[in-house]
Order: sequence, then C-alpha cells, then structure tokens
Amino acid sequence: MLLRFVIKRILLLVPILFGVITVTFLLMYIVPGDPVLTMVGERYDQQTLEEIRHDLGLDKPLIIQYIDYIGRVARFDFGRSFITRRPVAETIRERFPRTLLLAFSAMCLAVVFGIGIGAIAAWGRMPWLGRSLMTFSLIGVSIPVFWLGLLLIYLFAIQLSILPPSGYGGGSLRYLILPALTLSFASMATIARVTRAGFLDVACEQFVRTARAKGLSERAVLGKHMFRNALIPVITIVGTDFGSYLSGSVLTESIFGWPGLGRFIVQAILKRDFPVIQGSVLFMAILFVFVNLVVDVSYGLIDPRVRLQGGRE
Amino acid sequence: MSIRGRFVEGFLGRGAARVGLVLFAAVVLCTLLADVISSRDPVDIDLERALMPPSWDHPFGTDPFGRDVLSRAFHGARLSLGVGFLARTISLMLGLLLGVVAGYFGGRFDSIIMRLADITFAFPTLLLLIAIMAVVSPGLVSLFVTLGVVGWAAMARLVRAQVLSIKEREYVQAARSSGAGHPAIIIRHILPGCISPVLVVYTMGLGMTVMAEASLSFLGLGVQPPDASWGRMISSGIAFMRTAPWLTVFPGLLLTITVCSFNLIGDCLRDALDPRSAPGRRAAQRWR
Amino acid sequence: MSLTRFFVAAILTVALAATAGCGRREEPPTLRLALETEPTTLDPAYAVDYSSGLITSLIHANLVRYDPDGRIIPDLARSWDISADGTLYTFHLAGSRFSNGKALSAADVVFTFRRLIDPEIRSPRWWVLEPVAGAAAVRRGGEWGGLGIEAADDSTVCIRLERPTAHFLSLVSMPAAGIVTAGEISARGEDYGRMPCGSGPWMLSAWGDGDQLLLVRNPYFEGAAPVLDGISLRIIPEPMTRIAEFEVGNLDILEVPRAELDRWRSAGVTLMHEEELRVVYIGLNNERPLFSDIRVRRALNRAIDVETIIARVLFGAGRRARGVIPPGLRRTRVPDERYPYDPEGARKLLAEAGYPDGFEMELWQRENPEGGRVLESIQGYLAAVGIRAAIVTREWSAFKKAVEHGAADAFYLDWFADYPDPENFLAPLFHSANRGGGGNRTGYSDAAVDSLITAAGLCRDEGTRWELLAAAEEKIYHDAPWIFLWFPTRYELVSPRLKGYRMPVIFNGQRYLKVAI
Repeated sequence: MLLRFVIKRILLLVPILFGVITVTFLLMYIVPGDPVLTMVGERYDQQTLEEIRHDLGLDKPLIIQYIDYIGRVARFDFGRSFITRRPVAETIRERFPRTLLLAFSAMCLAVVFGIGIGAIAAWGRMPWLGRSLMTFSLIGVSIPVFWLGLLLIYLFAIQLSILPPSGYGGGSLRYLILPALTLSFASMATIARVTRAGFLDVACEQFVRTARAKGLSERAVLGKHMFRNALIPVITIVGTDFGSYLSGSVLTESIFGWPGLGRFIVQAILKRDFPVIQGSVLFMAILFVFVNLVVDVSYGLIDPRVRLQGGRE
Repeated sequence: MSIRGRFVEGFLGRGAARVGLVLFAAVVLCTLLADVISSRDPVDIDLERALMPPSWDHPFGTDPFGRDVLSRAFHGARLSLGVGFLARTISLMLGLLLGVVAGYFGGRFDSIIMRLADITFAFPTLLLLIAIMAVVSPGLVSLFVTLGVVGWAAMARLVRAQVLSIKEREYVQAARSSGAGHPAIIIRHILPGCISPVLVVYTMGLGMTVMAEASLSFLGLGVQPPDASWGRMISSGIAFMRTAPWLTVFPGLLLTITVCSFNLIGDCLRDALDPRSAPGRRAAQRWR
Repeated sequence: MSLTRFFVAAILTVALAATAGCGRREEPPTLRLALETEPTTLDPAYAVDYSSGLITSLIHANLVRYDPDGRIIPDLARSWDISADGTLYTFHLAGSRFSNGKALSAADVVFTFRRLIDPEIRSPRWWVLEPVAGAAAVRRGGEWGGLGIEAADDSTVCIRLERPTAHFLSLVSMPAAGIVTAGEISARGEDYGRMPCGSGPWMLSAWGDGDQLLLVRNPYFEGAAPVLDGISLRIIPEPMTRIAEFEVGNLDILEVPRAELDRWRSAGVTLMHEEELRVVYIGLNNERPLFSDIRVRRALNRAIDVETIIARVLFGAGRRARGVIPPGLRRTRVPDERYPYDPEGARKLLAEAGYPDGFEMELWQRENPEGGRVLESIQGYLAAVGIRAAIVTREWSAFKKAVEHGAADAFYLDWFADYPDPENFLAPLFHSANRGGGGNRTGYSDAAVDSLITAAGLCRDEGTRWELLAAAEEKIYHDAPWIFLWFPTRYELVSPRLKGYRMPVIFNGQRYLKVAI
C-alpha cells in the first residue's frame, strides 16, 4: 500500500538523520584547526582565547558537547555562528531562497530546453540533427560545471560584456541567467537524451499505431500520447537532480559569487564554523531525503503499468 | 548470449563505443608519452618565459612560471586518471565486500550496512568530500582514499541486489544442499553473476570520480602544488582569464574529453550488458 | 496537462522569480566599492578582520583619527593635552551626535573603553588599551579599582597611562576604539554587530547577507558632511569578477589584481598607487636547531632572487625589503643591502654551517592563490642551492595554530599595519614578550632589541625615538630571523566620474568625506 510505504520511509528518516548529525559532528571535531583562532584575529592573548573557547563550550569533553548539541537540536536551537554571531537559522532563512531560486530556474531551463532538444532529436526527418544534438548532450554531461561557468563568463561577460560576470543583483534576471544556465546544462543534456529515447520507444507502441490508424492527426498523436509517456523518466530526473541542486550547487555558486547556501556551507567548513556546518548540513540532509522520498513516491504513482491501464480507453 | 558475446557484438560493434575507446586511448597515450613529448620538466621554473601564448614551441602556451602548459596538462592527466581509477577500485572493493555480506548473509548485517548506505546517500556528495578533505591533511593518498570511500554505497547497493537475485537461483540452491561452504559458493557462483552490472557501474562511475577529483582540486582541497591536476590548473588560471585564457581552456578541454570517453564507454557497456536498467533512474550525481 | 500550459507555466514562474528581486538597487549618487570578504561584525570590540575594521571605522568615530596622508587629526576630540611626563592624556570633546540623535558625551567614551577591557566582553582587541593604568588588572582579574579612565566633565576625558607610551594616540585611532553608546549596546545586545549605531559620518542602512552593504549619510554627524549620499559595498570574492564589474562601470574604486597590472598599465589609464604599510616575509622558526645557526638563515636570504619574483610574479607591484619598516614610515636611512642574490654565497654558507648537501624543510602557507605562485618560485630557488622545501598549505586557523605552536619550520606571512607607526612593525613582531599570539611567531628573542624597543616606547622625544627604533631594525636585519621579501605596492583604478579621492596611507584613513561624483 502506498500509504504504508510513505510512512515506513518517513520513519526510516529518523535514524538516518541521527546518523547524519552524528557523522557531521564527529567530522568537525576531529579537525585540525581551531575556529576560535579565526575569531580572535591577528594579535591576541592566550587568556582571551581560553575564555572564548570556554564560552562556546569547546573545552568540554566531546561526549558532553555531543549531548548538548542533540538537546539543542531537539529544541530547534541551531545556535549562532562562531564567526558572524548571527543565529544560524536566520542565515539559512536568508540564503536558502537564493539557492532555491537558482535551482528552480536551472530546472526550468533544463526541462524546457531538454525536452525541446530531445523532441527535435527524435524527429525522424533529419537524423544528422538528431545525432549532433545527442553528441552535444554527451558533452553537456561530461563538461565540468566550473569550467563551463568560466567559459560562459569569459564569453558573455568579458568578451561581449552583455551580462554581469557574477553576483546576485537582488535576484534580477540579468544576474540569474548565466549561473542558471551553467547549473542546468548537465540536467538538460540528460533530459534531452532520455526524452529522445522515450519518444523513440513510444513511437512503436501499439496504441500509437492504433491512433494513427484511426486517422488522428500527427499533432494529436504526438501531443497526447507520446509526450505523456516520454515524460515519465524526465520527472524522475527532475526530482533527483533538483535534490542535488538544492544541496550542493557549490561550484556554481562559487564561480558566480552567488550568495546561496552551498557556498556558505563551504566557507563554514573551511573556517570551522561548527554551528553553521552542523545546522546547514542537517537542513540540507532533511531536504535531500525529503526530495528523494517525493521522487520515490511519485515514481511509484506514475508507474507505467498503472498509467497504461488508466490511459487506454 | 554470453557475456563475451554481448560484449563483442553489443559493445564493440557500436560506433559510439569505438569513439569512446579511441578517445580514452588518446588520453592514456598522452599520459604515457608525457615525459617523451614534453621535453620540458613540468616543474621547471623559468620566469623569463612566463605567460606566452600558444606557439609551435609551446602548443598550449606557458603558465605564470614559464612552465609548458602542454607538459603540465599531460602530467596532470596522469594524476587525474590515476586518482580516478584508484578511487573507483577502492569503491569497488568496499562495495563488493559489503554488498556481498549484506546480500548473502542478510539479517542484521544487511540492515546495518543498508542503514550506513542510506546515511551516506543522505549527504550531498560534494559537501561530504569537501568536509572530509578539510579534515584530513591534504595529499594524494587521502584524496583517492576519500573519493573511494565515499563511493562505496552505490556499488554496495547494486551488488546486494544482484546477490539477492542470484542467491535464489537453482544452481546456488543445489550447491548449498550438496554441502559446499559459503566462500566456495560466493566465489564460484555469486561473484561471476555480478560481473556485468558491476563492470557497468564501475565504468560509469569513473567519469564522476574524475570530475569529483577535478572539483576538489579546483576548490584547493585536492592535489597540492607543485603537482598539478586539471582542476588545479583551471583554478590557478582564473586570475589570468583575460590575459592568458589558454591556462584555463586546455586543461578543461582535456578533462571534458576524458569524462566524455568514460561516459561513452559506460553507456555503451550498459546498453550491451545490462539493457534492463531504466535510463532515468541512475543515481544522478552531478558535480554542481 | 497540456504541453502549452506547461511551457507557459514554466516561463511565467521564471519571470516571476526574476522580477521578485528587481528594483533593489541603490539610488545615485552613491560610491560603489567592492569587498573581497564579508565583514563578520561591525561591533568595534569584535571586529578583527579587514572588512569589518574598515566599515566599523566608517560608522563609528574615534577620539582621534588618521587622515589619508597618515597624520593624526582630531575627530571626536577637538583638542588634547599630554602631560609633561607623558602619562596623562586629557581629551576635550567637540559636540557630536550618534546616528540615533543622542549627543555624545564623555560618559560614552568612558563606557566604550571600559567595555573594551571588560573581561566579560572578551574582546580580542583589548590590547589597544593595554597601556592604560589598571587596564591589565581589570582584564586579568576584574579589579576595576585602579583604572585610569574618567570623565572629568561632560566633554572632557582624562586617561592615565601606566607608563609613557609614544604611540598611544595611534592605538586610540584603531577601529576597536570606536566610540559606542551604552543605550544602543544594551538595546541591541548580540545583534549590535549587525545593527551598529555610531557617531561617524556614515550609518548602516542595509546588509544583505553575502551580497552587499549599504551605508548612508549619518544625518546627525556634526563634522563636515560627506558630499555623497551613500556608499554601497558589494562582496565579490573573485578578483577577475571585480575587474569585470569595474570595466562595465558598476564599481568606482578597485584594487587592481596583480595579474591584470600589465594590461592596465599599457591601457594608458592612470593608476593610483601607494606603497602599503605592509611587509611580506617568510618567518623562520628560530627554535628549530636548523635555524638557530645564523649562517643558515643568511644563506636562505641570499638564495632567493627577490627582485625577479617581484618583477615576474608580482608584476612589479612591490619593493624589495631591506629591513622591516615600510618606506612610507621610514624617517631614517634604509639599512645597507646585506643579502644580495648570491646562490654561490648561499651554498658556501650552508657548507660552513654543516649542510654541504642542503637539507629538507617545510614551507607553510595559508590558502591563497597568489601565495601559491610565490612559494613555488621560492621553492625553485631553494632547490637550486640544495634545499628541498615542501610546501604545506593549510586553512587559516590551522595554519596559525601550527605556526604559533612552533610546528612549522618556516611560514609565509605578511603583517599589516594597525596604525602608521614603525613601533607597530617592531614590537609585535620581534619583542620577546609578544611570542606566539602577540605577533612574534618566529620566537625571535634578543635582549638588545627588546630593550631598544621598550626604551623607544617610553621616549618622549620623536628624534631619539626614531633612532632607537632604527637601531633595533638594524640588529634585526643583521640577525635575519626572517627571509625578508618585500613591501607590496597597492594599485587602484578609479572611475573617471569620481573626484577628490586619495589613496589612504592607513587602511581606515579614508572616510570618503571629500569624494564627489
């Protein structure tokens, strides 16, 4: 039963999250490097160092710190950043929508252009176009995202100077295009391939031939049946990729100076800002797992057998 | 059709696969000839000839230290490929071991191992890599060990699924009832059945691993100077994007070609050996 | 769902999302600057990094300040008297207001200084007030009784020092001594760092996390008001991106990344430049047996062709360091060249010291792209005299920890002036009392140098003071606890639409009061 499946998966979430928290905690504490040193700056005295360390509870034994931490998390208290002293939750709230904007735009681009390219490539009339588009999509999957971003910046921002090379710009479109394009490339390529494969598969399906035989116009055949069935694997890709966008558009955000969550986490890791690392990783893990859950569930729902039974009338 | 047969016809027979193999061979050739082609020592500093554009003498130009970019790129190929294969093999070993244990012995081993896999999957991969590399002292060994360890879960899951299906087959049951010990069964019956899907996943993961290494090196957490892998060369070239774009273009090109070849080979292998797997359901882990 | 509807919905969503953030840009005339790193806090007691210090200085006013040319000028204090023995400073305050309208009084100054040394506050910059009588007692043990800070009346502050300190006014000009008011500190509590309230010419109007800060004119500022309406500071970590933004016209002032210097020089654009109050060096861990031999240290200095590195790796943006004090602060003769580039001589010295085949060492640096290039060149030069140096790169705090605990053989570091006084380059770096976190990371300890520096601190006569400091520098140069590298030069591009801008000598010396568009 679908409901049982969902509940079972949600229950499984708890030990997973627990594992995530513990691993993150341990990882950060085995670290060489001391966040307090980053906080005190160039010239400091030993006494201040010790006092700050004590304030932050960093001089307590590891197990006590761990228990404290679990207790705080249970109360939804993610603490304050060691470095900026801002509440972690507040920073996540400010930065996450930017990552979301980027992820969402990239996903739209990927879907729109991916399906378009895949559809064109599947069109029987010009096989050379299909092959070259598929080569293009192979490159799209293989190209390193940071290199692609640099190339796009070089072309559009430096040589042509028509787009800004980086920044957020309050979320305006000019600043969004290049990062979203860069991020979407690999997904776009995969969706194109899968769409084309889906079309080619479906083209042979019995009911399409029947529909054609019935005299339905090419457009009706294409529009209703082929698209719907070719879309199934696309939805799966959208789900999985979107999850990975949200949780790690780190490279894209770094290249384009996009002040989102991914970049923030990387900087926190490099500066050993423990509360930020722990809070953000937890947040992203929950998000990631949740998105995967949605994908699993919807995949079960859209299972072709169920669909065909309902669609064939 | 036997594996051999599928391989020869389904794989080598396809044009795409041949292209992939040719590309891969070209890259490997570069790494092998790195010392021969480039007469210049890649770490030889000659500040007088810094930042020269591509020419007959230096087909890829020179870097800010006067080093030949071509020779550095070829040596970088060694590092990138080497790390990629080593890491992937570590994933393979770990994944095989844990997958077989989980699938064959089942019970508590199975739950624990699968729980661990779930936790590993819950972490965004690049972030996990960054976190681990930030913790351990950077170096070549820690790099491929980290890459290898992080990649175990997908392999383990696949192996477990295979083992589960093979376990119930008649010949395995027969072997068990005739008193064969576990190790014998595993080696003689289970493992051979795993070869095709494992080979596919191994190859398909190679591209991702090379990309992961490049990403880590790009962020400064991978290979350390004076060694250079492509990711590192790209990141050090950024400051010179306008004045010397060849510093970023060529390593990136080589990287793309390498990953392309792995993807081509992997795809064709998958089509040839394991046509059942749905095209959309791959663990789509991208390096964003 | 039909295909057309899907496409329309997708396009609409993207468009909506895109317009959501539109129209957030600042109105002219605003000065547009770029920051490499985001400030961590704007609370003077906790601002330790460059960006934080810079902006804190724009928002908060001090008793005295430095002008762009490096001279002390009155700020909140219109005049001050120093007693004959140099231990009593009396500041007479001019009328000023905070950005919330409240008038600034002596009580605010006293509150600020007491807060800075308050053990409960744990400010890492309390050493700014360390020369004050009784300050150490407060900080160490909470003994407030003997503190020498008091408000004689509403507009007079008297500060008594433990001993005469020649650079006390410089200390008071630092961002950490920016004056705050008790009311706002307690009202805003932990969030004061994000919402400061100062009496400087600017006040914070917006701070988008990771994105940009907006400053506007402080309406209550009593001094000469700035010509411009506001300053926008965008956070752009990548140098290439900063340059691109400048070219497109989105930035007004920009430090030129070294890699771009040649390009801009030949473009015929006027570049402003200033020799920074900063020294770049490789510190040698004097506690290592290897480096306890002066011949080895001198050999290292002779082995490296610093001039060529400056020309090639820094693209000429620097001057070879002979000694420690930057040219901008120098009033005495530059020490004679002691360590010309001389690989043969270096080999001979090494052989004499017992290392005819060289040795192995680790060269530590913190993560930064330019440092990587410098160290690789140095690695090459050292290899040429037989020294195999392995480069170890670590994140900043791990690096610091290793260096301060003596775990690093040698480390590549720089030192920025806190205030434009040569004492700032000698005492923290070479006085034995400052070993470790205080700034002396090589463990250098020399009784003669210590006494020279201490004596200079007590000296009331400027001339004698410079002599003492110069003598200390000579000894240090002679002892070579460092590989002396260079004093960097900073180049800036200024947009043609700007008038009245001058590069400041000390980083917080420019408040953009006279800058106009």
